[in-house]
Parts: sequence; C-alpha cells; structure tokens
Amino acid sequence: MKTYSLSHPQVVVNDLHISAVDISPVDLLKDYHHPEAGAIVLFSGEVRTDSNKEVLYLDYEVHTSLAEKMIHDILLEAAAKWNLKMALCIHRSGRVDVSSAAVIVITASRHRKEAYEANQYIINRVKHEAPIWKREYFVDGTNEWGHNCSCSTS
Amino acid sequence: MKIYVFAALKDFIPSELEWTDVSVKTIQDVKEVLKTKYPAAENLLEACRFSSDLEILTFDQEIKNYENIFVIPPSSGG
Repeated sequence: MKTYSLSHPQVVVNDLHISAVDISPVDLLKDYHHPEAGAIVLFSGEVRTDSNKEVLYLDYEVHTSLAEKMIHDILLEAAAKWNLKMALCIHRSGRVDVSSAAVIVITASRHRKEAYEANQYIINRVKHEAPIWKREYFVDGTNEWGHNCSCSTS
Repeated sequence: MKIYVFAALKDFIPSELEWTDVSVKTIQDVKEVLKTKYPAAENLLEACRFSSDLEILTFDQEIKNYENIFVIPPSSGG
C-alpha cells in the first residue's frame, strides 16, 4: 500500500489501484502533498446500507491486472487534461463493511476548479469502466450481485 | 486457451474453462460458443466485454495471440 512512486514526470500518480486491505482517506491525505498544488479534492465512496434492505457488507470481485491498467490510464489521461499535480485512486477488493471506504480518488491542482472536475471525471470512469463487481450481503442472510452502473459504458 | 468469467456470469458458467477447440478463432467465436453452451447466460453475454490480461479486445481479434481470455460483465464498482 505504501510503495508509491512517481510514475510520470509532471504528476504524482499512485502505482497500486486495487487493495485487498482497508484504505484510509485520512492516511492518504496525510501521505500525499505536492508543492505546486493549492487545491486538494478527495472523494471517498463508502459502503452504505439501504432503508429497504439492510446491508451487512459488500464483497468486491476484480479483474486485477486489467483494472490496475485501466485505472492508471484514466488517472494519466485526467492528469494531462486538467493539468493535475496529483491523481490518485484506490479501489477495494474483497469484503468491505458498511461505512468503510470502497474507493478513494484524490486530485490536486493549482486551483480548485480543475481538481473538482477531474475528480468527478475519474470516479465516473472508474465506476463505469473498471472491471470491478460488488456482491451485496444483507443482514437477513441473502446476497446478490450489485446493480450495474446506470450510466453508459461507452 | 483459458476462459475466465466474473461476477453474475458465474451463476451460469464455471469461473474457469480450458478450451482446445481449434475452430474457435476470434473473440466473436468465443462469445457464440459460450451462448450455445450456456443459453441461460445469453442476455448477459450480449452485454459483456472481453479482455486479455491487460486490454479490452474487439470481437474480430484473433484469440491465438492470447493465453487467457476474460469475459467481463457490466461493471458495478464504486
């Protein structure tokens, strides 16, 4: 988890995008800084329950080699498009309990507009395109594959 | 050649298949054979993408270049 390095000369992009262990928004914010970035935007997608059917936890299945490459490419593309100083994304695999982070995206740029826009772009594309699937486990003992993203994958 | 399927596809198809059928030449062929062998998965297969270890493959791509083929249902990450 902590073995990050510079993988692009102009922008900090993390190297590992799929994690089988807990991911912490606070730790990531603490670890990553860029001297030219005045705006840091963090999105944390947490597992939530549902008022109709109480969720116990989600279990994420991942085509890891492809997901790693796709997410990395999305980060580099966003970094180039918005001139980001940092672009980070980590998505969980395996069991994630309610109120724990399933995915975190951090973007950093000189000013906030670019970081906000890029962050939304990255999470949208990761959700819709990366080969990751959730299975929902409910308190009543049942489980089912999560519904597909409602947006186009094109 | 090994075929791997994910998520809801595993309700219909074993998660790992090993094929030696030489008549299967393209990704489209893989899809058609899967639809024939596992008709209950037909609708889901129509919505799937196919990939190698590192890239999405188009339907006309020849599978002889790939050791592993992955069948990818619509994503539900995040």
